[in-house]
Amino acid sequence: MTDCPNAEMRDRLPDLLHERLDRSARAAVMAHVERCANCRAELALLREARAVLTSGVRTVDVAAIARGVIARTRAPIAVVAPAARRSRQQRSWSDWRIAASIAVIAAGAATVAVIRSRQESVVIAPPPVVANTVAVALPPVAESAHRVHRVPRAPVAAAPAQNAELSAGAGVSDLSDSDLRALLQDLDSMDAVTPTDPEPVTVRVSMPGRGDGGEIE
Amino acid sequence: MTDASRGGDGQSDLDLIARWQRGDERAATELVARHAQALARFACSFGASEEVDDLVQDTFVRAFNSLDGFRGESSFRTWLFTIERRLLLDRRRAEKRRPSRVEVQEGDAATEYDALDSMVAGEAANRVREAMKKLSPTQREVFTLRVAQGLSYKEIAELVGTTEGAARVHYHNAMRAVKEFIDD
Repeated sequence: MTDCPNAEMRDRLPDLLHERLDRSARAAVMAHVERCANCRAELALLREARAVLTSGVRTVDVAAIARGVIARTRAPIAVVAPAARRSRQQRSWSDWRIAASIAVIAAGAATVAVIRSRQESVVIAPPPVVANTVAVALPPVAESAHRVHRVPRAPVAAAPAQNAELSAGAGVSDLSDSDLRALLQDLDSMDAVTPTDPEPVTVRVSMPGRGDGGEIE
Repeated sequence: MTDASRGGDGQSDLDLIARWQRGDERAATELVARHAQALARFACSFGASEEVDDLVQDTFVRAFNSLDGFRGESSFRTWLFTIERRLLLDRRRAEKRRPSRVEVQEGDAATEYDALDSMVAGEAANRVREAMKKLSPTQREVFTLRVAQGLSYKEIAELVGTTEGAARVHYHNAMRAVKEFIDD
């Protein structure tokens, strides 16, 4: 058996045998084999050799093998890990989104609460609950007819007994004429002297054109 | 060369591997169906006559458990052959340690062809078989991979750990030796 001098064609004979050539290559090799006795003889030898080498092969039970493989490799780390990593990444992103949403909602709620508290302090006159404050309704002014200013109440020792009604929540406008008169009398009878004497004040005045400044006590 | 790693459904082995890694068992079944018979042929061509199904299954199990190591540089089938070849060598080494068994050298698969003698009829086949016994272990392995499996020189080189050129030389030397034996 002589070797064909066309080494390239001879090299492709096993590929022809196993149908591993594309259409054009297969056509070229087939055309060569048809006119080359050496290559035809070598191709026949290859067929024989393949038959010998694969003669003991029986058909394997592919379904049983597949079942066994899946059972022995079910949920392997390599299979679970990418999905778990993906899940963790997705969960991380959704966590951030939820956190951001909560922050936005909280900020909005805080803003609304501040606005409402301001509106309440402007529109609604809450009853004076604290004992040492007296709510005094002022005459209507530009902003609101119901605006209420809280002013410090006079010392408790100087307050008449009737003032307890005021501190209970009623305004001056709720008093009757007789109560109002009594209240005014009490106020007139209150000692207006401050509890402590004021400290002496020194005022230094600089006069332009004079070297020294005058001092007034 | 045609693409042996793409099935009739147009999905490549890499597509099926990706699906299997996402937990799709049908992809695993498809991969087994696509390559199991080739692995069986490969095992038989290297002398494995018993428990081929177990060997093929073990090959897939080992492959699926180490898919991270498959970089796609070679075809999935060649990678499977590499794993199966390693399993075969491991089994032969294990058998070698058993005192009751006949010692088998690495690459000495042709000695097991004797068990198949009765199954192969024809003088030509016997001549081919005898000729292959005369080959060196490396020549026989390369010749088997090229003729029985139809692997390219590149795939053979990856499988046996040599160069493409060396694989080509081993094949042609083997073919020349077989021809000379048959002509005598």
